[in-house]
Order: sequence, then C-alpha cells, then structure tokens
Amino acid sequence: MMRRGLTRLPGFRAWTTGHHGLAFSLAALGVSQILLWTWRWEMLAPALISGPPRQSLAAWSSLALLGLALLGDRNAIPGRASSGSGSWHHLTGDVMTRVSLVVSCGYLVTALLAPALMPQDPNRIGDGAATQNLPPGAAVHLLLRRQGGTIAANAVDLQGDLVRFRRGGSWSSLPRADLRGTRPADWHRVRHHWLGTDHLGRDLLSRLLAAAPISLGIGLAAALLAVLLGALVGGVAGMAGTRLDALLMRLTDTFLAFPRIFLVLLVLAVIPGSLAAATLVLAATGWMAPARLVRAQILSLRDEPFVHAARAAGRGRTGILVRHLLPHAAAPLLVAASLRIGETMLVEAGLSYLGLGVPPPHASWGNIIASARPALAQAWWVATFPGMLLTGAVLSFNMLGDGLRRVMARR
Amino acid sequence: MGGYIVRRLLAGIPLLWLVWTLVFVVGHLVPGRSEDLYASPQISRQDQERLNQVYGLDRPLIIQYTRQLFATLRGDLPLSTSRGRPVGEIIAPAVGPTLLLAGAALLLQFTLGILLGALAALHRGRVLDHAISSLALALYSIPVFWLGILMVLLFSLRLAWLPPSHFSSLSTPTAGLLGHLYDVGRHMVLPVATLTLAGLAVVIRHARSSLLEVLAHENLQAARARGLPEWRLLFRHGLRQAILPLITLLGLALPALLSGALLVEVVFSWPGLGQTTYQAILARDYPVVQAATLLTASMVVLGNLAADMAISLADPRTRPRRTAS
Repeated sequence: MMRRGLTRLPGFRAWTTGHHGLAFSLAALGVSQILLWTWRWEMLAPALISGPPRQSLAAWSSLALLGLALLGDRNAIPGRASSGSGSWHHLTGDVMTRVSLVVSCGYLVTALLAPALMPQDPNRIGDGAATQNLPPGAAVHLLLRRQGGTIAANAVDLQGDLVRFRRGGSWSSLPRADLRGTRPADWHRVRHHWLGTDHLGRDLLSRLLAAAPISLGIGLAAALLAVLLGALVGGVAGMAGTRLDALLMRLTDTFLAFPRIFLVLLVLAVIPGSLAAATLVLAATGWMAPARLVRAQILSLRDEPFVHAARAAGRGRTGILVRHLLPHAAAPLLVAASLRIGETMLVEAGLSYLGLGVPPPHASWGNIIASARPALAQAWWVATFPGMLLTGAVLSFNMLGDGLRRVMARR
Repeated sequence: MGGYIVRRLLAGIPLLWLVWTLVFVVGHLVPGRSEDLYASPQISRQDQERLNQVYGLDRPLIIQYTRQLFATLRGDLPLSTSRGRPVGEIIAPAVGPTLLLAGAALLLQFTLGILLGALAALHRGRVLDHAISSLALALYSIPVFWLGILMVLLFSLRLAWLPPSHFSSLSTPTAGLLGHLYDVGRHMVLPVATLTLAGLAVVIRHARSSLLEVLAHENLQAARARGLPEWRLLFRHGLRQAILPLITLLGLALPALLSGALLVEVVFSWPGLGQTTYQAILARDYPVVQAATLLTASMVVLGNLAADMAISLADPRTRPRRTAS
C-alpha cells in the first residue's frame, strides 16, 4: 500500500530505479541528516541508548531512515550487484575512491556518535591556570576536598601530612586532613586531555567531537539545498522560453561573478546568527554552478525522441522536467553535490573563523580555530587539530566526488 | 575594438547595479537596520532625528533608494556611520594593499600553476604527475585561513623569520625608500604565499588538462615527428595554444581570489579592502560596506574585461566580428 502511494509521486520510479538509485540515496541521506540535525544532535546518542520511549523511538527511526537511504540504491547491496556493472562496483573499483568513501563514512559515523564519544563536556570551562592551554596528552590532577569542591593541579606531591600541588608555575600546599577519605584513590582523580585544552581550559578533543556534527551537518545540508535550488533554477531556465531563461542565467552569472564570502558576510552580519541561518545563507549562495549544469543538461536533452514521445503522450512541462529530464541530470548533479560539500564546509569554516558563522555556544571546526587566536603563541594545538580534521573531511569528500565523476565519465 | 570595450563595460553595469541594490536591501530590510544603531539610550531624541535627517533615514524606502543610487552615481559618497569620516577617505588607503596582495598572489599562482601543470602533463601517468595532482587536491581542500595560521605558527612564532601581521613595521622607522620597500616585502611574504597556495590547485588542474589536450593536436604531432623534444614542444608550441583557456580562468578566478584575500587579510591584519569590509560589517557601517563591496564587484568586472581583451589580443578568432549591419 505504502509503496503504491509513494510510487504515485511524480518521478519516483525514475529516481529510485536503475543507476539513479545512488542519487536518490544521497538525497535521502541529506534529508534525514537535516531532520536529525534540526532535532538536536547532542540528544541523539543518549536518546538511542537510554532515553524515554518516545525519544528513543524517534532516534532509532531517524537512524533507520539513514539506513533506508543507503539501501535506496539497489546497486549498493553487494549481493545484487549484477555482473559488476552497478554504480557501486564501479565506484569501489578505484583505491583512492574506496579510501575516501571509508573516510567520509567514518566522519559521518563519528559525527553521529559524537555525543557518546566525547570524554568530557565540551563547554566546561576549566579551573584557572592549571587547566588552560595544556599541551596534548597533559593530565590534570583533581584533589577532592572534604568540604566539597575540587582543586585542579598540574602536579601533586605527597609529603607526610602535607599535600603539595602545582598550579601553573607555583607550588602550594594544604594539609592532608582537608582532603576527602583516607586512601589516595579517595581524594585524587586524574583527567586526561589527549589533545590538550584551549585558552579557557576546555577539552579540545571533546570540542572537536562536538563540532563534527555541526560542521559536517551544515556542509551536507547546505550543499544539498544548494544543489536542489540549482536544479530548480536550472530546470526552470532550461524548460522556459528564451526570455525567462536569459533573465535567470543573467542572475546566475551575476551571483557567480561576485566574491561569495562578501555576499555571505553581508547577510550574516545583519541576521542573528544561528545554525539554520548559516545553512540557508550558504545554500542561497552556492546554487549557481548546479543551476548551469542542469540547464546545460536539459538543453542538450530537450529535443531527444523520448521527450517528444512524452509530450505526445500528453505530459505537461513540469511532468517532463521532473520525470524525464531531471533523472538524466541526476548523475552530474550527484557529482556536483559531492564536490559542493567540501567547498561549503570550507566557506562555513571561514565564516565561523570570522565570528559570523556558527554562533559560539555551538562548536564548529572554524570557530575552534578562531578561539585559538588569543593564545596562538602558547597553544599551537588549538588551531592545528581542527584544521587537520577539516582538511581531512574536505579532502575525502572531494576525492569521493572526483571518484564519482570518473565513474560517470566511464559510462 | 573600442566599441567592444564600451559594450562590455556597459554590460557590467547591471551587475554593479544588482550588487548595489543587494547591499541596500540587506542594509535596510533585514532586522538590525542601520537606523536602529542610533536608537540607543545615550543619544537624545533630537540627535537621533538629526542623524536620521543627515543620513536621509526618515524618508520612505523608495525615496532613500533612488536618492542614494543617484548620489552614488554622482560619486557623492555618504559619511561612514562608525567613523564619521567620508567613505572615500576610509576606502582609498585600503585599495593599494589589496591590489598588491591579490596581484602578487595572482601572478605567482599562474606562473607556478602553469609550470607545475606543464610538469604534470609532460610526465602524464607517472609518479610526478600523480604527486602534482595529489598536491593540487590537497591544496584545494585546505582552508585558506588555517593555512595562514600555520604559516604564522611556523615562520613567525617558531622560527621568527618573518613578521606575522600588518603591512609594515610601526616601531622601527626604516631608513629611506629602499628600507621601507624591504620592510613591506618582508611583511608581504606570508600573506602572498598563503593566498597563492590557496588558488594554486585550480590553475594546476586547468593547465594540466588544457596542455594535455593541446599536446594531442595534429600540429604538435607533426612537430613531434620532426624530432622536437617533448619539453620544447610544450613550451614553444603547446603553451601558446593552452594559454587561452587559462586567460579565461584568470577572469573566472577573480571572485575566489578576492574571497580568499578577505580571509587572508583578516588572518594577517593586512590593511586591505577585505579587512575594511569586514570591520565595517562588524560595525554595521553600511555606507562603507556598500562602497567596498561595489569596488570589489567593479574589480571583478574590470578583471573579466581585461581577461576577455587579452584573449582577443592573443587569438584573432575570438575578436568581435564586424557584421554587415
């Protein structure tokens, strides 16, 4: 029944069968990504494991949606890859593409599970000099006091009845009796910062993990929206008459000729910063290349016999566009989308670095790099690690896009 | 040719108008409008009204729009709202540093990019080709501001070879013109290197692919048959034909270059147009933003025009034909 209903949507068959399954799966992946992400990432992992039933159900169904999206590509199921001609087989034939596929999936899974993987609260501000700008691998010793509260120290030394501890550069001491319990295990804890801490004493590893779903989510969502918007503009321009086409293309050229970051800054400077605003603005300034692509595809296909046949069969313009022309443009669109993800992530990081992208309570790789500025000379790691993660993600998405393009070209 | 240039310049006008309108719309219609800036408790009611009159903010939007548009056309720029000085005075000193930075980076990008692209094309399918292509892919994926920060970390903070920011030293007065030039040159190295690396990948890729295409042409096959070594073939015959798409790329690369320049200018506190725009955006200084954005857009238009003219100089086939009419 459900299937019957779905197949009645215009173009469903054309989009879900054959080689376009991959395109469909990516689209569905993006949509579910948006769904998940608007519905608060940081709640996902706790909800999956130990949430109240309703939350848990929602979380699992979102995940199931992701899984379905992956299965949406029939060629993606290894057992059904018929005689090695499926897009999946082509795609994984190349070593670099296979590596990039694994790496990008790794990024996505990490982002999805980030809340559960974070060793510490990414926003907890440390306790004074003992926790600020600690190098990677540093440990903070926590002394639990009898009357409650803790002292953070860089080193602890037990001398008879006196506990000496170092905070920053200076040693101080307090009587052993002030601390909780009797055995050292009662009053002494060690907290490891595997990637160090920033100038506020926040754990860098936790912040990097907390930023992963935001940086990736914005990149994916904005790239997907941009491609959809581009397909819309390009489709309309390709199908419409000369005048509207000329107008739309003129607009596209104008947007293309303008340095993107100026445009984005202009808008983000006046509207209150939020994740949704950043996504929408990035989407609204990234649609031009896909639009030109789709238009070119449609212009080249417009006079093919199957289009005439569809018209003769009484299909309207919209029907022809959605059911017959856009599915043909799916392959190049998919490549455009995957190449756009990396670019969008770079622009987002740039904006966040300038303080106008992802607003501060949220972490993004770009605004972590920005937060390194005050103590750049003391703490190189705060700027270096997020940049490496970001470069890795962008690189793997770009390589994936390149691989996809080669697959499409080979056909 | 003259008529062609004029026509191309005229074709740039809609773009500039659109940009101008966009900045106006963003500045006036989105919440956080510029007139709200004056609605602070420290400013008395009369002063607010006076300011609104000075900036013409008490008029209906459409009147403001036309008046400002005509004022801009006359070259009559308003006062900066954050610094109270004419916009021209704020923008003018920023143009030089930006042109210096972007120009140097563009030059280096194309020289290095074409060289590396040629090397990759000569060694097609071999180790060097793969190495250069991987380098291009990596450079394409690195965020430009992070690259700048890495440069500062390594060359300024760790090795202390080069100054990390600004256009010239403030503290030590340098002797004479040569000393000043040396000082500016030292300050230029890191920003220019960053901006160059950021755009290098695109040039390498285009140079490689268009050279490969050219190398397969028949006339080059003929030259090859005459026994010309491959590198000589490439540099004497190949580059001349491959240069056309590269000049087109030069025009197309300008927006990305200026976007990158904004980030690089912020990282290195370079006193250029991008930095000025960024500061003005933070201060919601719309007259300055408008002028700076418009100037940036005109740079793109002029750059594209220059690229087109360079193409028609290099290739007679693309010159606008005189039609019968």
